[in-house]
Amino acid sequence: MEKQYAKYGYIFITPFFLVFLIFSIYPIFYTLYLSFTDYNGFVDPIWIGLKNYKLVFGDAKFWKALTNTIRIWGVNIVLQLGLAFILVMIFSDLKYRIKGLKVFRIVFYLPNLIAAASVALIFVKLLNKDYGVVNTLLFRFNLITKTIPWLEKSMLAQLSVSNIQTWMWFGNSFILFMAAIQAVNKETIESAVIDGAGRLAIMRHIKLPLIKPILIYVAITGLIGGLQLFDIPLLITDGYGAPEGGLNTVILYLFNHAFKYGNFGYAAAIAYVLFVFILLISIIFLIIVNRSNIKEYLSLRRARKEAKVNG
Amino acid sequence: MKKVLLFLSVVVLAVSLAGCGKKENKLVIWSFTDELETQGDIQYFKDNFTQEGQKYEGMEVEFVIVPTDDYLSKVMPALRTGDGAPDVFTGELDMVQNFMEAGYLANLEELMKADEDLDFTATKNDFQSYIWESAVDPEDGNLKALSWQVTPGAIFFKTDMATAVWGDETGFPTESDDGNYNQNISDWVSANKFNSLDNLVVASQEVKDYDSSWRLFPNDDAIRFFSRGSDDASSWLAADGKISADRLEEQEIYMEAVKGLYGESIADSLTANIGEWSGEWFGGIGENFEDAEGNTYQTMAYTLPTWGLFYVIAPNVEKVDASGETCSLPENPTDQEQEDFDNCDPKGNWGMGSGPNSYYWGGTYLNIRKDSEMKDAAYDFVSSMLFDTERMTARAENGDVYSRISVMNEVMAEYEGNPVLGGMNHYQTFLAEAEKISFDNVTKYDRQLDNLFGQYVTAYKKGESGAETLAEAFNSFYNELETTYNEIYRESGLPYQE
Repeated sequence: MEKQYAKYGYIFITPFFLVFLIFSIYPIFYTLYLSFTDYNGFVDPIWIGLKNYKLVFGDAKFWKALTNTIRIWGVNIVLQLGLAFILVMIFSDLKYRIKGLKVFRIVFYLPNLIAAASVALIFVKLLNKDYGVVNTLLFRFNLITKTIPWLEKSMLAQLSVSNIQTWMWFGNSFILFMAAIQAVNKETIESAVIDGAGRLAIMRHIKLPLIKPILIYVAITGLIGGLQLFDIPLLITDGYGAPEGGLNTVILYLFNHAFKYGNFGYAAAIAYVLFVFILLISIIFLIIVNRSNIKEYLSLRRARKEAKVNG
Repeated sequence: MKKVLLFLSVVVLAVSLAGCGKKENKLVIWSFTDELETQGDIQYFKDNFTQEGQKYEGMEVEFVIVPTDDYLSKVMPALRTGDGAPDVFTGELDMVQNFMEAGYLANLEELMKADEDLDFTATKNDFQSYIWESAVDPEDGNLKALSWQVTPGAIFFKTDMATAVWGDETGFPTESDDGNYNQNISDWVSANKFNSLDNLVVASQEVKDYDSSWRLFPNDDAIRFFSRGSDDASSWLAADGKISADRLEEQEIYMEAVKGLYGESIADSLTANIGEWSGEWFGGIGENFEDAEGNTYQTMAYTLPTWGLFYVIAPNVEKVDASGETCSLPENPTDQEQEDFDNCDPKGNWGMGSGPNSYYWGGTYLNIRKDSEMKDAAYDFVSSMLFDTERMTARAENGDVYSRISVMNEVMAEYEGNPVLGGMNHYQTFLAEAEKISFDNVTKYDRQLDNLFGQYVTAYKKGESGAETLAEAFNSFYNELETTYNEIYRESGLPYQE
């Protein structure tokens, strides 16, 4: 009787694995196959071996796209986590007792609910150099004498996109941090206060270690999401990475190769190079944040080995 | 209970799988625009072919609109596998070339010849030759697609501004009441100011010199259709199928013209630096618009094709009342104010001229899928749009320009002139432009190469790193070409190639 029941289990999990196989596993391997071919989307793929990979490694535009992506992401993640962190410190402080947390949570999260296309459109209108709202206001208040090319100089455009991303995502980080902090036992903090610990000491020695897992989670998902930055750079200028190629991110470059130039093989190769890159960075990042655990594990293993040898 | 659940899931799975393979009496039509629906073509077919007692009684007609940006990536896999593929589908010319090369298109010429109600030769001669030639498959010399419209382009401009700037020059037409005034100015401007890329830059300078708040074009994108510079420019591909050195050399003139027009600030620029389709861009068609600093500007000319006249220029032009005063609509108008505004007439201060080379922009072709099981119905649908003379004539009266000469002749014979253009006959100019268009030089790479090269033109005009000189710009383009379209890349012999 028990055996019969066990079979049902497989049937119940089959739909998930079917969907996973068709929509996740198959595309992953099909993309790998495409990366070794020359394929324009309508004539059969032609096997060309490693040629696409050779081209990717020698493609200055790809490497520039990668640095662009890292630069935009780097500024964004520092601002996003920093801002979320400061707000969490203020809202979680027992002395301030700020009211209306629920309202603020919604307000901070709101930008995340707006579709990227609308966000891009809004900022195109706001940041236009000659006719934009931001420059118009700055002129009205006599704060500038010359228009600021928000989206027309590489560095400024990258900064603008970083800030837009921050605006869109800091609410998300804030909610996650806040949830983690609220899980910290209030009595622990109160007793620390009684023992004379200052705000910074509490943050450093109590709150931070306790929310570390969430912090790592936010940083890693931020890294993966950030390196896949695509929608805003696509929509905010010409869709090819203008100005000066500064907004050409890796995924935008991949997208243009696949869907604008009909170069699916090359795009697939870019996807795989990016995949390996993200994997490496994630591993390095995990090693850095868990270095004390790793050290502990290694020394334990060494001690065991030595004990064995000596024993 | 579990057995019941298991049974139910098996049933659901079986039903959904069965649905996939079911053959239906359905004609599936895909398009990247809603024209077929808004023009009533779908409804016409339903009303005249699928009702009781008609040829395809009970047939369902499914019309699917796929946004332009996703169109190729959706339609190509469907055509490739045949799964859920449309029987009739639309496409712009470069798409048609892709469909043709992949062998997805039915032989329209054969279907037309088999149609007993159609005189093939007479029909062929009745179509604008560029539309016909553009869809002939080079593989077998047969016609594979056709379009009901022609979409040649022009330069639309404000005649009053042109008169103010160039009115004193030799040969500039004097005002006449014979209804040809706008036409005469258009002819003069086409021959003297718009006839070459260099002259377009000179004209832009003259307009700005006349009044520092006036500009000829809203932006330098306005001359992108003239990148070939003349009607006998080279093709993007040379005879050996690789990129053409001649074409690249010709592009130098265009690059210099764009650089000549460009200025980082509006004050330094010969254009108004307005993004195409932005609020200010539309505003410029009416009267004037304001920049961030509060300066007011006016633009004189817009580069647009046939549809641009009806959907872009006409709804936005300045309107005047019976006494010649400009009509304006206040914010939150009352019903009366709105009615008064609607009753105003266009000022009629627009002309249309031709640029350094003829061009077309858009144009929707009809295609039938080669392996369609509904080929007869598909052909009848296409035929109702292309070969039904009476229907086409009735529709052409809305002002659009159609691809059949007999239809256009009939419409033009009764045409009284376009009020936006001060009574000028836009058909004549458009059809003259259409006749100049040649398809000898079109390749399936055109759109992509224009885009790719366009990025380096932009980089060059701005003096960005990697494109500060012509040599740098060309070599940066070659690097990208090598990775993007390796099959047409040439190792040596191109201008400035290092």
